[in-house]
Amino acid sequence: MVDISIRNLVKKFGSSTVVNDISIDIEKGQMVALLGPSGCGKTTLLRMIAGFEQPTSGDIILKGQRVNDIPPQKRNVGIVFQDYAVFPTMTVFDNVAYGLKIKKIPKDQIFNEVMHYLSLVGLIGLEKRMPSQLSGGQQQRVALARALITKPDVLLLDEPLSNLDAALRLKIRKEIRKIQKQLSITAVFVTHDQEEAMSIADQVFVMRNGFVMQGGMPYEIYAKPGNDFVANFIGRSNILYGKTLSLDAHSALVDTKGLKIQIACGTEKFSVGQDVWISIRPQYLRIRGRANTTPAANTFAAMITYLEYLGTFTKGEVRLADGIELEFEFYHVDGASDVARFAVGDEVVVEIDPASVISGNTMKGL
Amino acid sequence: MPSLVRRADNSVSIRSFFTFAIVFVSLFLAYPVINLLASSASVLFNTQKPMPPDFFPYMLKVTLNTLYLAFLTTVCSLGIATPLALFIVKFRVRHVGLWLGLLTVPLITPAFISSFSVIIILGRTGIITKLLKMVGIPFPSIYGLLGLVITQTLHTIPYSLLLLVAGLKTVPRHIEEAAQSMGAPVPRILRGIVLPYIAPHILMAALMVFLTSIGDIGAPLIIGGNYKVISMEIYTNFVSYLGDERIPLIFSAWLILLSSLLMIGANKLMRLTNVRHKFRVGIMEYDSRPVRIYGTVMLMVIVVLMLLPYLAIVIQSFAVRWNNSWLPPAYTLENYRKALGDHTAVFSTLLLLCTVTPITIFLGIIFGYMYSTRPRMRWFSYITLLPFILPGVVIGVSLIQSYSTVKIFGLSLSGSILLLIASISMRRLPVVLKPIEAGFAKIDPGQEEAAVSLGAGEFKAFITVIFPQIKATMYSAIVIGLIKVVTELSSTLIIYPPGWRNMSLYVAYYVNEGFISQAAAMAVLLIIMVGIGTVVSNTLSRKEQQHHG
Repeated sequence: MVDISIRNLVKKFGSSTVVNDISIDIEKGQMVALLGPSGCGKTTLLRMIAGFEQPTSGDIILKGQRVNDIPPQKRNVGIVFQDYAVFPTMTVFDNVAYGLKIKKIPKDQIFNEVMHYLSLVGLIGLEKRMPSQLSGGQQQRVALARALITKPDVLLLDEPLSNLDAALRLKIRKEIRKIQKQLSITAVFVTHDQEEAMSIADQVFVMRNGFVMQGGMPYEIYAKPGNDFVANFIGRSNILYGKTLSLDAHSALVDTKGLKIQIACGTEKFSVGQDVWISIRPQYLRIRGRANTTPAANTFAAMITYLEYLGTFTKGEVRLADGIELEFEFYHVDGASDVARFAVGDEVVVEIDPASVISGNTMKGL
Repeated sequence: MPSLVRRADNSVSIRSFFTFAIVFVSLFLAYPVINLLASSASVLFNTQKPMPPDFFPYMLKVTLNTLYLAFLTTVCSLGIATPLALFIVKFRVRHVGLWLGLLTVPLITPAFISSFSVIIILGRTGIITKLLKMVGIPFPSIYGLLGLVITQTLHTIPYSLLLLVAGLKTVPRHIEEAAQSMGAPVPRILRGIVLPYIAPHILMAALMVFLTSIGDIGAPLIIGGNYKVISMEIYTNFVSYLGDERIPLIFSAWLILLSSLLMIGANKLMRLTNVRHKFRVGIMEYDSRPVRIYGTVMLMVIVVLMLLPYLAIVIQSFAVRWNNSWLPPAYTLENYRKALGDHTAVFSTLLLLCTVTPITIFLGIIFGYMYSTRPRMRWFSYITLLPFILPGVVIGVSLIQSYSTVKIFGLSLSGSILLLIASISMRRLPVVLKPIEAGFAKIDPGQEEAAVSLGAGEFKAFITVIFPQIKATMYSAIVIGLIKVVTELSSTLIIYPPGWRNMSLYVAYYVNEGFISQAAAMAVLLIIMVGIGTVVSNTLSRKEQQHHG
């Protein structure tokens, strides 16, 4: 069953179009992430679902009802903000109870409900505290309990983790996901952090300049990016542009500024002389010493120009003979000896497995 | 370490500035106040000459009167200013800039002119009084509590309004949106979320109005009638030969105590209710046409009502006579000729401006710099803030009491305007110091440290790096200083040397003597003078701000 349906939604501020003809369906109980760089329109889309912004055209349908003209008070959505937005003049208890008081629920019932939701977010014992006495993480938990207690049809989360420190972010992220699953509430999560989006959501919609670039399950977005922007934005990637030189049924030779790369995509996708983009994930670049390699497809002479030791893995850059620079990374499977394998300035050979190269012909720009 | 660098070579010159400022304030503020408190205690507990038995009931009555007036004024001022502020910030009323601009007229006008203008329209022969009489509503006498509340409310609404508007602009929109998404209707959000959020601003406004009312002497002098308040009792007992010379001492000490308690209480409440939002997310506006129209009309009505008295002053200033008629029967420029003919009044005001403004600005910069770079000296800010809560009469009495017999080069301090200059400088120091302090707070201390590390002495670093950045703030401080110097009346009334008279005294004197038109002409000149000063300084300040991007 579709819980939220967005139909051809457009939002203009003056002459600039912030949300551009977006249509999305969100199934009941799903967590959907709107992912994109700042200014891509994701927060505006969320605020239109909440009712804080009016669409210029298009429809928002919540639970089968068109809500465009319904004020935020009557939409039954819960919202959690980046800045927590807890009421600073009320205790934790009163914050969480606020929505129920508005609905004129009897006092004893309010008490039970508040305690239930406070235990859900792990804040039992802090109900008499003022927000100023809470940490950022605790305030965000208050905001979450406050948004959930009125049993909203939809939970909207506007970058709820951005103001928390790294460790806490992971913890609250997990909690939000667990609670959302437990209550099987439909949720929309806005973020600019792709790892966050991939880890928390059932569906990810990658946005840019008011358009949805691609929507789908996290794996699909990562493994089968629909265009160069998504390929670059999701995960780390070396993006190269070129033309197909020759094709057979299952592979193609792509010329990128003189560098010829074999890819595992054939005539079913491309034709000869077509402009294409290719994406090579850094972890798929094999780096070997010059001595122990035999020439094969997609092996290139290169020099290491940069190395960064990051504990479990090492990141680096190689410059190929014709000036192209590629990022690579490799995990330290053999411990210390692995780390010491290379140094900046080493002459090496780069090997790229054609099957690991992602490619496409839809160009959106990086 | 920058603090080590500071101790080096040039720090002597900066330190001598600090010393000078501290000595000045100690001499003309701290010592007189302490002296006053000590003398009042010795007078009060003097067993040889005890206070008469009816003194304490009288003191209680006057105190209750004062507090009651201040309470009513505070309630009225905030009661009117709060909905206005909500309309302005939350409902996008039309032409806000215009209304707020017009409301600055009462801001730059001395309180006693407000009471004078209230007399013109609400007095026994006032226009509105007559209008009400015509429709059969007898308007009670304006002289007394009613007139005082009207005048003081009129005078303080702009202050409250500006503070509340500033407060409302700090409320982050997300907390209102969160409440909205939970189904809360707008009035409930404003009442339950927004107003509690700005509690510190409301308290600050209430404190300011309350202290202004307690310290006000212009209104009680002109319109107070038989309603006795502390400041007026201090004044009458001080100037009258029949008065008990102990009363100004005791009442002054009593006012210091009352004001300090109020300040401490309000501060505590403000700290309790203070909430700081770390994130800047903009403010929430509600789009409701009916409310916007209602708000615009209400704001318009209030602004017109507030400005009507000032219009009346202008008309009065051209009137030959203005009694029992809608408009004066005949117009003349004679009042202006007389007002300007009194060179001494205009000259004295200019003299005060040219001496007091530079002194306060100079002291303001020195103290602002001292508090921002010498955390250990911040305790002194309690002393420099003192005149904010102390009524002018009290400062006047304390200075006279401490220095009436002191002579410098054979010139009696109290007999010359030297003491007056010192008194007004002290009295206006906090209003000038506050914006300058805020200006200093915005400057990254790293800049000065960078200059010092590059070899500039502290004085050089201050002049070349820091001072240019506070110039804009300084110009706005000059505006405030200017207004406050020209409109000062209460300490002037106590300290002015015999035969001396400035413009504000001139107005007060002629109102009291019944030469209303002449007083009106001088009042208009005074407002024009302040207006010109304000425009000039504002322009300079804006230029400076643009200059710094």
